[in-house]
Amino acid sequence: MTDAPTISIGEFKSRLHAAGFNPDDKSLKEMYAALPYLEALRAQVRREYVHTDEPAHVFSALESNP
Amino acid sequence: MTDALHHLTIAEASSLIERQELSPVALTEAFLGRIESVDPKLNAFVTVTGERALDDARTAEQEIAAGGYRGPLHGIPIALKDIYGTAGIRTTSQSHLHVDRTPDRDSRTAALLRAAGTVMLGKLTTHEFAFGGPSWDLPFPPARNPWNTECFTGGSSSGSGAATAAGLAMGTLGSDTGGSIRMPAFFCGISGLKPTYGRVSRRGVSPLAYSLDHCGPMTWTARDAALMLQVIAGYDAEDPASSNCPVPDYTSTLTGDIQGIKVGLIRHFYDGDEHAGDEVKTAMAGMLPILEDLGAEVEEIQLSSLHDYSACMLIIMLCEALAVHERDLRATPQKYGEIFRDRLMLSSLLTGMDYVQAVRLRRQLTVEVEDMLKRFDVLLTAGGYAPAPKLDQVSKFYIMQNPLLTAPFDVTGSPAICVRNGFSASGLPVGAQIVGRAFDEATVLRVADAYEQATDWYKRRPPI
Repeated sequence: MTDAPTISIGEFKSRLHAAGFNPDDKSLKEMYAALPYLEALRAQVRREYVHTDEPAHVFSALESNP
Repeated sequence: MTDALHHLTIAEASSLIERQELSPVALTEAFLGRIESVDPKLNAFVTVTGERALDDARTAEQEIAAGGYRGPLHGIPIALKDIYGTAGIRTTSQSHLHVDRTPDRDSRTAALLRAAGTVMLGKLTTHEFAFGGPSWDLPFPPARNPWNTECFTGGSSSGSGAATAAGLAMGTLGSDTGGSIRMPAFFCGISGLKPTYGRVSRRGVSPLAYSLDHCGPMTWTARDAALMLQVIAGYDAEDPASSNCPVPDYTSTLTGDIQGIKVGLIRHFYDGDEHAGDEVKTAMAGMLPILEDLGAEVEEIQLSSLHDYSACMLIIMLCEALAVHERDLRATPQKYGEIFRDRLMLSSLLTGMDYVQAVRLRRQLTVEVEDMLKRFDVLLTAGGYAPAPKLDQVSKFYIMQNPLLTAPFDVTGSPAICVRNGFSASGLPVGAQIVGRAFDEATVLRVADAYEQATDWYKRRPPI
């Protein structure tokens, strides 16, 4: 769960910047240290789904336009 | 029954009020006095509405004297988590961003409680926008646990947990997206009910994550939770997730009889997938024979790993929360507390694919629990891993570090209550979750009430 991050702190900073965020150094380092937790969560929800597996909520045009 | 007015349950007080043996004004004055003397140690309130409370109490007293008793919440002092919109009362979400915000309309639940004749004591501390905390860089300090003021209350309904446990309000409302009603109930030793998703309107309540947000009562007993739920449950056309499922009489089944109730014990959540402390495991083990003595049949069951449920909840919550706050977080990040800001900034690395995969998993996990609840009337598991930690030991990213025992039932939307089932050697409460079928809060409350009445845990009050 606490393996090292898969990206460098420079790459991490660039991705945050691309998302519109420019944290200070303290926050940047703390978020980077926590990145493995986020990556573990992402890995946990990746499954061997097939193309036809639907998510829990699917938009229904008929219900929205009676 | 206790002699102290602030330690009466709602059920006890309402019975006295109905018979005009207890004055709502006297009751309210007792609570305002209690808040004045105790709350500086707890920080449970961000706003005390003393004049409004006394106005409400005087109105209730006059109405009841004139034969206009409205029901069990008439004249009962309550308070709301400060994400519930309240007309004419500032609603800050504990954030500098909304510190001067005063809605001109009540949230649906606040309006229902007002119509039931409750007495509004004020607004309660929360983690920032029900997410970022415990934090010291917000407009108000974090709440403290009445069992030990150096300890965490759990979050995010932190003030609701502290106020209810300390006798600063007879009942409160919290909100639960990943466990924010049940975790404070666990740490503060009260009864916290997360109703089924859609059972209680979220209209006028600051959102955290649309598909996971639940509003619900936090009270001293399950019976009191039933009394509050009776008032706030029901369809609201202004909440797109609201259900028109009929609302039953929640107190009619609180007979103490749970003969034949089938209980599925999810032990592996707290003793397998993760490992709760001995005090929690001992309390859970001690609960089983009590339920069996009451006539319930307990059988251990197996679901997917707790890690699956918790990851599913967190990915969905973080993506939806970022969608709510994206614009303000980019434009004025300095207006957010550090914990809120950093948790959500980190979450910006999640992708649309992550969200969809989590929602796919959500379907699978929900079907699994629904299928299990065809065999069992309720499910049972621990409410937390260990008693409340010290406030200064709660880390910024704790929600991501260990799976949340409360998360599974936000994923599935199932009704779930946390009730106390023991105390640690240091005098801190621990508790269990009882989980039911969708819209069957009645059975959840029935089992919780029977268990509470068969034990003495609810008779212990915090030493404050």
